[in-house]
Amino acid sequence: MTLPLRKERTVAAEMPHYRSQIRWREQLVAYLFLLPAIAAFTVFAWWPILNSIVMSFQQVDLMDAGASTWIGFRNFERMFADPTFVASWRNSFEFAGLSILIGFFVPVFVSILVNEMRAAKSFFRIVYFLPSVIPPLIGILVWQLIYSPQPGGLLNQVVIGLGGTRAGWLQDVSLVKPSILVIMTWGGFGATMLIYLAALQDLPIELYEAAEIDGARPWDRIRFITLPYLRPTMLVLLIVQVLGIVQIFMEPLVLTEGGPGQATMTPVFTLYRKGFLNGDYGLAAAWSVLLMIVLGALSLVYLRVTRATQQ
Amino acid sequence: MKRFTLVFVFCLMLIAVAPLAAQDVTPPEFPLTLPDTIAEGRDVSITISACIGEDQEQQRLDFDAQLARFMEVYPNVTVERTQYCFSPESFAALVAGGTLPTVFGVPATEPQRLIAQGVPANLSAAFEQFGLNDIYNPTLLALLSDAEGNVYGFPEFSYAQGIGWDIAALSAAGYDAPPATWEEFGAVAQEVADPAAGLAGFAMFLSGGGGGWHFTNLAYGFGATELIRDNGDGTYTAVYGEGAAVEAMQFLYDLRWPDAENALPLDLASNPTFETVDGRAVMFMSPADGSIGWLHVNMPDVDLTRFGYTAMPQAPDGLRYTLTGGSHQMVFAGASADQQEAAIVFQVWRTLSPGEFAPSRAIFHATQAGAGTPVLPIFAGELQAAVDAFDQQFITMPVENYQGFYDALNAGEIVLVPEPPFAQDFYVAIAEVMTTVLTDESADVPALMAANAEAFQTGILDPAAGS
Repeated sequence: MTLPLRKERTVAAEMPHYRSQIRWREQLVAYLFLLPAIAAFTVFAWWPILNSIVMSFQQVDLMDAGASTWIGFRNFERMFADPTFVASWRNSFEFAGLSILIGFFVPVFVSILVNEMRAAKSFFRIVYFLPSVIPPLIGILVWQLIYSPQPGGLLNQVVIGLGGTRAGWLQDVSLVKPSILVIMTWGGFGATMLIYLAALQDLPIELYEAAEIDGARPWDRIRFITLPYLRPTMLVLLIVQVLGIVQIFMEPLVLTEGGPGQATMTPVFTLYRKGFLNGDYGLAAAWSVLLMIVLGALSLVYLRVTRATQQ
Repeated sequence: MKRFTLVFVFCLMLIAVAPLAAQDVTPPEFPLTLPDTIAEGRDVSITISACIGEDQEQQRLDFDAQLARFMEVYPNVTVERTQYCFSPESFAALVAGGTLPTVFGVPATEPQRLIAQGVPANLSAAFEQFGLNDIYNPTLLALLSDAEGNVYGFPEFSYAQGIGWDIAALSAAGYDAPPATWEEFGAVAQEVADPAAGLAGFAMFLSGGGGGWHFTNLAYGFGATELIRDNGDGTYTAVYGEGAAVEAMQFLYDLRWPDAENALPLDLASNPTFETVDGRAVMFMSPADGSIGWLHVNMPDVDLTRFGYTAMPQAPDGLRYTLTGGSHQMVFAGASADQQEAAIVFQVWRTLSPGEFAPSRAIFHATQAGAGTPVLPIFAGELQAAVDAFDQQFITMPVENYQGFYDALNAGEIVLVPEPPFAQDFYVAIAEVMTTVLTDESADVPALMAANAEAFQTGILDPAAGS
């Protein structure tokens, strides 16, 4: 049982040695193959990122980039002073927190259920995955009808039919975030569920058989075998989910315009407004730089967790 | 039988001749002289943005035919149509990349920002050369000019905010038209509302940027035409925390409460026009081009005779203050001098020359605002009257339902007020107050407005001072 671990350690120990050796003559062809991708990334990703950082310290002249003036940290000072700054980031973290509460366990739960099924497994896999193939904008517009605050709104009809009272799902400050997260969970959990299901396929069936022989009930199997086995995958997907949630944009843009009040203003939506509606590109760049730092930090956590789970 | 045949043939002849008669209406004559050559005969290529719908093939062909005729008149100029409708997301990239069409259309909310950024070319010399200052409505030219009076755009069409209404629903309550003052308007909105049936008395944008935009009109209507004061030294003061702007917010509160069964739409994110078209609201605030004009062009199945349209209710001084909107044409400052010259001549030739005026109007009415949409005068004085007379042939909208708007316009009661400084930030900030006021019965309107104005001052205006 310990042999593979020793082998992994050996390989890991040799990694720096391999990295330091760039043998150009042998690897030239490989680098040539990489060149188009590197060029594309440089032009479409790295250069814009670098340019954003530069713009965040400038009052930007769109007509002549050379005429943009350096203003130091002025854009960052304005960003921190802006009342929407606190509101946007607070909303983002609330969305992230709620997404863990509402959305994170749904795909875990559903994938375990589907995996436990003796029949119709493929049918349910497809059914649950279907929302993922609907274009996000179309899905959002359909949910807009479902959430209509009118007495005739679909969800309100159900609520009223059950004896409840009509609610403003996207109008009520206390309801709007959970309502949006339900949409995001609905749209995203199918793909996540497939990842969990794929992970579950690797789970040795002998463990379940042994547990059954030992008299374990279904819940015990899930608790002591399935969930511990899925834990590394769950951790990775949790960080991926938070990374995605922090970048919420389309839902506020289409459904709420950041409202009611500023309840669904998010950093990405705010920087969109500052840049494209106000034409204040330097300030928008400052917002994007901060967003990049936060996402970078989260990505580092993601990489560390991924590496730890691989080991 | 013979008699019947004769009458039938006569009727057929009348039908056949009618369009010819309509086309015989003389286009207005604009006092201008076009040059014989452009750029002293040097080869020039320009691009013209045309926002023509995918399904409007005929208008595209008509537009291209105009380009071909222009190139016949000025053979050294190559003109190309670019299918482009202004969108904030792509516009900045086109500017930064230097690929903006030589002539481009912009919404009326954009010119001042673009002028400050140096995007449009200064057209003052051309306006002087062609005598355009006497042709266009000076009020609109002022909105397209900088502080020094330099002109940067060709007015295309302009609208004011107004009030539309469902004629049958309002008539059922005994009213021919929306009341002329906000106080009476609020009372009628409450009277005609039927919350149990999901019917609002009055619909307007109530949240997000749209909510702030409409609230600004409401505040203007209550007399608060200055919401953010430009101190003239690079600093600004938020003055909406007291006075008429607070009264406007109180007006909204009073339409919503004392209980949630109210005169405003339940859906804060709803579109006021659609609320009314779908029978969920009796009256709505909207610019005519974005409501009845838009319906005419894009949803021809909607029966427009159901709706009336009039000017905004009067402010305390009897005038009707409103933000303006619409679209205008500009020339890209990044284009070469020859290109700018060609673009200016093209724009003047296409919209004002005797041979091109009629096809240009036909394309405009089919793609932008249906003929008869209550809009503001583009041209000065008698010229507008001539244009209106010419446009009669295109009108298929029930213009008799819009008489209230024209009466207010002709009486000089409609006053255009520009957007406040930092408009987009203000819209977001004030929308927060709107939400609180419309969702919390215990909301203290004066305190909320004062706190919001103070936060706006310290969070937006003070840090941006001098920038």
